[in-house]
Amino acid sequence: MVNETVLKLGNIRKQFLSQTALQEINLEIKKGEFFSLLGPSGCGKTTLLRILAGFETATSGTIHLGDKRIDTLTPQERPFNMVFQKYALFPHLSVFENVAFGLKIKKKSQKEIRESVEESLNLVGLSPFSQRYPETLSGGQAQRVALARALVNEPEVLLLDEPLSALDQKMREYMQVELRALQKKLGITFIFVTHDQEEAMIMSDRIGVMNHGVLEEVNTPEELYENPKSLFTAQFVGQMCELKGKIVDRTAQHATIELTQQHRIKGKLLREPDSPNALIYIRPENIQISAHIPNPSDPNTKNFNILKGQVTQKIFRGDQSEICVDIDNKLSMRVMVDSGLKDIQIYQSVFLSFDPEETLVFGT
Amino acid sequence: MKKLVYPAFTWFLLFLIIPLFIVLFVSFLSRSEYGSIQYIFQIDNYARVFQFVYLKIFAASLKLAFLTSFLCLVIGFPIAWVIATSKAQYRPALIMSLAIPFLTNLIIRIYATRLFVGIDGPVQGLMRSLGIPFDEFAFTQNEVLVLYGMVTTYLPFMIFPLYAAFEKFNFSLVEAALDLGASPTRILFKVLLPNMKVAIVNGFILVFIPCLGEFVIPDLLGGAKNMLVGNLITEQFLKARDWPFGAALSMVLILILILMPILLKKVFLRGVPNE
Repeated sequence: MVNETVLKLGNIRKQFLSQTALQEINLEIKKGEFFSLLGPSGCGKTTLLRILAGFETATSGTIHLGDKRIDTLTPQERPFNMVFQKYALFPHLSVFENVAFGLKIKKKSQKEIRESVEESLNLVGLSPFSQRYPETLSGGQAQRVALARALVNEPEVLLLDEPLSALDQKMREYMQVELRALQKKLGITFIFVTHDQEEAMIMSDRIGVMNHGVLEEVNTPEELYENPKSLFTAQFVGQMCELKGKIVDRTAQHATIELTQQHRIKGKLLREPDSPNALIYIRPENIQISAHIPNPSDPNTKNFNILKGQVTQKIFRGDQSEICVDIDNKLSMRVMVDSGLKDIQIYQSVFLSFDPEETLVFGT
Repeated sequence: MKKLVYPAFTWFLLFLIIPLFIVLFVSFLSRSEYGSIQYIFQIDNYARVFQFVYLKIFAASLKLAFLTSFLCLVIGFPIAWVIATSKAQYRPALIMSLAIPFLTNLIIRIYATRLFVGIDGPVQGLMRSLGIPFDEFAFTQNEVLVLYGMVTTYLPFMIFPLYAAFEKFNFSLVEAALDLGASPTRILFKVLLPNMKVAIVNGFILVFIPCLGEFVIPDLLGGAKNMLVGNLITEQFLKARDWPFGAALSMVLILILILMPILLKKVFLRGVPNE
């Protein structure tokens, strides 16, 4: 991946009557990266994509492609192509004609058109289907035609609006891998809109997390997962164990929190508190569970936070099981363990231990 | 469940099939000197239909019906588009506005049109006050006025099927075409029209069929200067008292009305599924 910025969004704002759909979005997309816009429905991610495509006009703000300002251009003039959520294939045209649609507008010769269309259908593995009509294709095939139709125009940026959401689970997983491989092979910048965090994690180089029209955080999937910078990211991305407590002591980067009278834990302070109240997040897979108190001299669990509780529930989830633990009848924590561990019984007393470095504290 | 069909079928039989056969039967009989029906079998009535005078009348009727349908399509297409894409809260009112003309009797509406544009009517009054020179009689009865009357009367028959098709139309196809660089003209001819083909042909047929047999509008707004099939048939029954020839003309007209939609669908909807 080259570190060159291809697309720059400056203070993009969108107002729908009295409703603010997007607030001051500033974003730089790098050349050749797979960038995802992730957020719950209604967060403004599709609006942002449609502003990029030119189907919506931003209330204020600028978009630059390289050095050129493009937010004043019509959709036809922008060197972008889009893959739509429900494919939007022309039902009256064959697969070949669908893919050739953009090339015909560019007045390419018959020979060029035929070669380019065949090449791009080959790329998505659909050359045998070139004479078929869209209604005879499966969802996965239709989506690949839509992809070929966009890619054949060699766009500088490919915009994808939840393209996999209409596919079934198996097909979606297959297409995620394929799409990622295709993007790396072609080196085209992809901007991918999705509400599915797993999908965003699997495919993206970087993810922009959006909520209520605000771009909360832009980071690599690993960073978003392990060190979320915003409270929303922590809550939205992945499974999290949430605890509430009071900050009783703090340094610049760490805080001690009182959960109950018996239990205090330490954690990384990620947001400055306005009040003593804090929200604490721990990934369920980072919590270790044991029947006996962990040995304080064990280097693996040295300085770990330790909580004592009682198992209230065991939920089988295939390869893993979820265990709910009650602490002092006040707090409830969920822990993931391998389903092979059968020795944990309901109502049994257990000890939970977790690294303070993996304990994320957000002041409220 | 099948029993529920019987009343409708009886109605159909009594008031459509049997009368049709009566007309067919009469078309092979002859006319007496005083205009009653003589039960003498002959096929001369059909031979007469193909005389040049009558063929000309058929041609004029077909031309008017085609022209009306085409104008209805050109005018109705954007109207249907606007209604289908308007805000949901305005849509019932817009659709209602199309149906309002049907609340008045056709003859009354046509007479109103005559008064509206006729001598001393508001249109002429306005033109006079604006000082625009015009021929008073040019506004009374002519072909343009006939076409105007026909189009305003039959426009809703075109708009309703088009509206239904626009409502179902996937407008992301338009966005996809824009995204691929298509101009508005290309989008109209390469994306919208091909996908609306079924509705266009259906609307065309719905307008064409009543237009071909129409006789009131051409009579009142055209001043009976140009004979059309509808007028010709009425005259055979009411004035010339030649029922067998009128019946033969009717049978030919019915045949055209059956063949025309089949032909249109064959030509324009080849390969379109479910049509």
